[in-house]
Amino acid sequence: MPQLGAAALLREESAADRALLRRVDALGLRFEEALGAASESSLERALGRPEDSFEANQHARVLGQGATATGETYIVREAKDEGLEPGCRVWVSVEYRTRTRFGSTGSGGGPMCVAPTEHGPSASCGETETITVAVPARVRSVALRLSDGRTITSGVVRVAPAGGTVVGAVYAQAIPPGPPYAVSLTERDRRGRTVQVVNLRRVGRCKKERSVERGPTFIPLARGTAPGGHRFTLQGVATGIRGAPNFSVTLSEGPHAEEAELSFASPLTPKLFGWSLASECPPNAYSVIYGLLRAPGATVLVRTAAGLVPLTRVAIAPRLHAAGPLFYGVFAQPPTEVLVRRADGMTLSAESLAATNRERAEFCEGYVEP
Amino acid sequence: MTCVLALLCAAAPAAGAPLTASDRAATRALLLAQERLARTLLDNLPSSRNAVASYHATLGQECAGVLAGVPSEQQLFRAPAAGLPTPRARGEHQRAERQVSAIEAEISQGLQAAAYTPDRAAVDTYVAATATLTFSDPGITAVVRKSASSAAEELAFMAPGVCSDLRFWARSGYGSLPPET
Repeated sequence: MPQLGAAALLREESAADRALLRRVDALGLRFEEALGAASESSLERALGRPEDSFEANQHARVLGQGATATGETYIVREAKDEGLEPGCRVWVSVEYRTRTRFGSTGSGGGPMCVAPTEHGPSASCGETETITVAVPARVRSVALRLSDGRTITSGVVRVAPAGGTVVGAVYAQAIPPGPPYAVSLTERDRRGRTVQVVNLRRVGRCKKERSVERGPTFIPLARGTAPGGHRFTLQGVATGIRGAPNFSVTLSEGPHAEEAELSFASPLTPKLFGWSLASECPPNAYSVIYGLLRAPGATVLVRTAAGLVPLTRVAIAPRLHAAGPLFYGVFAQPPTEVLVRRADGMTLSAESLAATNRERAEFCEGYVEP
Repeated sequence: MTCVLALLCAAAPAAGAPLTASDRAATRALLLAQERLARTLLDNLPSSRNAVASYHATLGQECAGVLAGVPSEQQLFRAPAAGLPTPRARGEHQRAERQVSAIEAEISQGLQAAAYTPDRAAVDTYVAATATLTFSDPGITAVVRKSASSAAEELAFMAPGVCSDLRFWARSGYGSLPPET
């Protein structure tokens, strides 16, 4: 549906155009929701493909739903107990759904044991802070106290296995990231009597995210065609969070490249040349090695079947605060050793890639179609 | 269903670039074309649903149960008793993921092509209305034009071999896809 992107075009446009854009978005959303994605999964069922765990969860029995203080809806479903810890009689899952202009998005934690209710509350940080807790069967409402003294009271979803009696209940709520923070939950029975008070101070607090001050900015550094015709691109990613600049290099392959990529990175400890190696499996095997060189004036060479080969150097503007220039190379067969040499020929470091290459070869044995 | 004109998502002018009267006119024309298309798609919804149901019934009958033996996630990624999966196991898992993804995409494309069957004329009109729009930022012009041609290509997609591809995959023990998939 033609619903996106034009927003960027309209950044400085008229109110009339923005209204038109909203209408287009709304129409697109109606169309997407009306057509739905259900036909795809039902066709796969007709073709015999079993449900995966995500689909199974989506189709599990709904025990109840509600709305949070921040406008999300939540759905409590039965969850299967396959592989979960023994001792729990009833598991549920809780999904929070947020409606955006581009449709609904869902998020939720793992299965939660309702009977017995041994586990404490769990909190999850995102656009909002969600608080989810299994409560005893006799609890009918919960008062959430905030650090500014306000209280939000809401009901619970009572949980009864199919054909059984109520064994527990689920409380779900969401608040904006603090302050104010969630302080406690007061669980009450149907007569409003306090069943128990749960302290939330130890659950963790979600703080408002401070905005990223800069970036990310993507800087094309190198592009080329690998053996087998695959196009590849190396790009720099510059970010600055709270004033601290960061620069990294990523390999993004061309649109027709195979997904099979095996990436290795040298240890995180700062090295003269912090390399990464990405390999494509046969039949169009190739390897790209790249990294930033910290040693000024030095060069990087790799050992191949044809001997020592220097990597290509790409200078990076000082304003980007990179650790050093980019060095990269593309090879049909992966190199076996990486060396850093000073201008006078002295070797500053030498690192074998034998173990990495063994792992890569084993990976490809599994990856290549039999 | 994926959005037909998803490439528009990438349309973003250079920060701070001044907008000309021509930009405003082109933007307005683009939005009006999008609105017309969206309204037509909604009007055609009953026909789209019928087309999807028909595709569903045909493929479901022709290839019933062919994916019954697809290995589950647990079977694919069974870790050894201790430690991490071996590199070979990771390779097998990644291959299976790629193949499942390719099959899902093929099924999805078939459904999408069926869903938009009643909308071909409307999309042709949309493409004609937007393919010649010009913006002062050549990047935006390129993206808008590319999105128009992509929309036409997506709707022109025919999925003649979905069932035979599924059968090929099943016969190989869900290990190999036809080369063109």
